[in-house]
Amino acid sequence: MKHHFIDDFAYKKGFLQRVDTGLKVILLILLLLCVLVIPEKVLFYIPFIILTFLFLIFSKIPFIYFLKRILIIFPFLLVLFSLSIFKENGLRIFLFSFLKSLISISFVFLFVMTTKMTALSEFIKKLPAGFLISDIFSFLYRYFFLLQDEFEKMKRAMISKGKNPKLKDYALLSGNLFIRSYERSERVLKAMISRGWKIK
Amino acid sequence: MENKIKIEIKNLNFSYDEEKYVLKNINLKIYENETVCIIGENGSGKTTLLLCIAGLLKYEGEVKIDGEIFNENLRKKMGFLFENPDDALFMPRVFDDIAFGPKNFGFEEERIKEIVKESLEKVGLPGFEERVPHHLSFGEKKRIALASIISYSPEILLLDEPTLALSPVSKENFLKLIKSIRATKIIATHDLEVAVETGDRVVLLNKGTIKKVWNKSEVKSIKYLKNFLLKEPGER
Ligand SMILES: Nc1ncnc2c1ncn2[C@@H]1O[C@H](COP(=O)(O)OP(=O)(O)O)[C@@H](O)[C@H]1O
Ligand SMILES: [Mg+2]
Repeated sequence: MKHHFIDDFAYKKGFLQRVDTGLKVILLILLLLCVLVIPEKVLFYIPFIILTFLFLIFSKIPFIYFLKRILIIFPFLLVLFSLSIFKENGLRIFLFSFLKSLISISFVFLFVMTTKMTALSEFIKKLPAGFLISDIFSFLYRYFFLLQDEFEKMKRAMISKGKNPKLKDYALLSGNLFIRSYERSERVLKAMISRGWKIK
Repeated sequence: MENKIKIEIKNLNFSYDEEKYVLKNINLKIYENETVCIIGENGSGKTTLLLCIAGLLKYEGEVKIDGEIFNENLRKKMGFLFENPDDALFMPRVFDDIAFGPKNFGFEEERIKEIVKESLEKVGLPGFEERVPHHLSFGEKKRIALASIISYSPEILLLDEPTLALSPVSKENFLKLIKSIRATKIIATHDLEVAVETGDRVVLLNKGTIKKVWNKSEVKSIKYLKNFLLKEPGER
């Protein structure tokens, strides 16, 4: 199946691609922590949004491509945080959790997109925390691809039935994707357990 | 045929939702180094039966492997080939996927490298260690998935639709490969050609119950089996 691989952009020559993997991982963790702790004032979020755009431009990732990836998870976030609306001050909590998650996910995507898969897993293996982290990490990494595959297949099926997906169709597709990926994760877990994997 | 019982299934019942039983009162003995093919329509319960035998689902009744009821130590004796190889290849490199089982089952680190090499040779893909699973063709993924279970030399192979979606040539080669491995094998398939070609015995499953069991000499042809499937139509 022909499709974009998440690390396609890792082979371009851009800013994030040049940063050493180890450094990048640490940077990512720091950025995520920052986003997590920044206070709930719109002003504080602007630099992070600008930073995202700077990363995009200097790492030569097309904005539209990036936007599409991010849109896939939009509905999940909406569902996840919509519950908070019913609380006191709910709308505010909702908006900021949403913004925080969106920025965090943008960073994760950016970093993953610009890192060669093999380089990343080599790096993780060297960490003293050892094998378990690298297992989970490798698993997550591959999971990105499978999700993407699944999404592309469904999109193609929709197009082949004469419907050009609009924004609201993307919501439908991602709902569907969620169910499929849940079922898949069950099967993958069975495959792991049958080969002796245990939750340590 | 050897007469030692390898797998014994007694009064097995299973349901996913505690309402409708997907497997009903299954009784079956499987002998050492025998190949048993389970045929049946889509949804007849073939995959579920394999998952129960592998101890990957909780069921009512009893499944004994070498006389023992299921326990974690038995995992090492069984290798499960999943229908979709993408479910079984979850590591970034082919090497890690094939080494995954041996590592978990406590093989020595130094041996593992050799084992991976040997396993790849056995499935006809020598030198694939550093390849990335998502760049492989479907047929190659299927072979790597097989390599990832034979790497720890299980005595029992549970193969779910092993030839599904393979081209005719790949299918023939893959069947040859499966035949060349010495183990007790249970093959779930709706491909009657597979059943005729590989089965020492063939079991017909319909809506979760065993309808018929044939010995090799009784399974005359694909057409013969097909008649039985037509007589016992599935749900779909
Ligand atoms: N994870 C699941 N949850 C609920 N029902 C399931 C699940 N997997 C399979 N089933 C149902 O169990 C029945 C048997 O399925 P399965 O064992 O996959 O059949 P087969 O492999 O012969 O096609 C089907 O009716 C199917 O819909
Ligand atoms: Mg099946």
